[in-house]
Amino acid sequence: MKNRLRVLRAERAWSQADLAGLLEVSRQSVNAIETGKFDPSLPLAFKLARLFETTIEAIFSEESGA
Amino acid sequence: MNRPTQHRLTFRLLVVLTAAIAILVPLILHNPHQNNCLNLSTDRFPNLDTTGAVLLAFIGICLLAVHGTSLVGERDEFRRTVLIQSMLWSIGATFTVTTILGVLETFNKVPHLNVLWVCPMFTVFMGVSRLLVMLRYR
Repeated sequence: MKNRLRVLRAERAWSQADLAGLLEVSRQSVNAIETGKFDPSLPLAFKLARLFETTIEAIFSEESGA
Repeated sequence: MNRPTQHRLTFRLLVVLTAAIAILVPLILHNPHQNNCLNLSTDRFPNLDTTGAVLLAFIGICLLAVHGTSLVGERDEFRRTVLIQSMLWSIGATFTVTTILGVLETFNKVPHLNVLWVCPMFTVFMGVSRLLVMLRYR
């Protein structure tokens, strides 16, 4: 899965630690999701979408469909 | 979130391993055959009475319980994934090593390894595999 997490985070000038704190997950989780090495669960994806006030589809996209 | 679960796991492991050492050291010191204390058996440990044996078995169970509770208590889904993958790798490694040793022992190529060492072996494999799995996600 590709994602725009790094861009969205940069737009808000949040560090990985800031985002991790808001999501109540570890910084390693944010890093793993950002680098595309770990796909978050649906509840966490919804939490991300709510936090960035957008949809899940606007954050995540399939590798081939991007 | 910091690393409370990891700290809890480390603390619990330290407690269990300290208890294991506290039980094992007197047993080894009272062993008349100290030149080969790696292969624990009643022959080499004539002083390993029922209490010592039960305590050692309890320590082994505690060691496995520590791993289990750390998995259940992990709320961070990424860390839980890492923990599960590490456990799967270490279970595989333990099965592989013990199977190879079993086959070699059947053909008298290696001395008998007491089953007691399977639990510490699993813990060591857990540490190594966790490190490797974490490196993969870096």
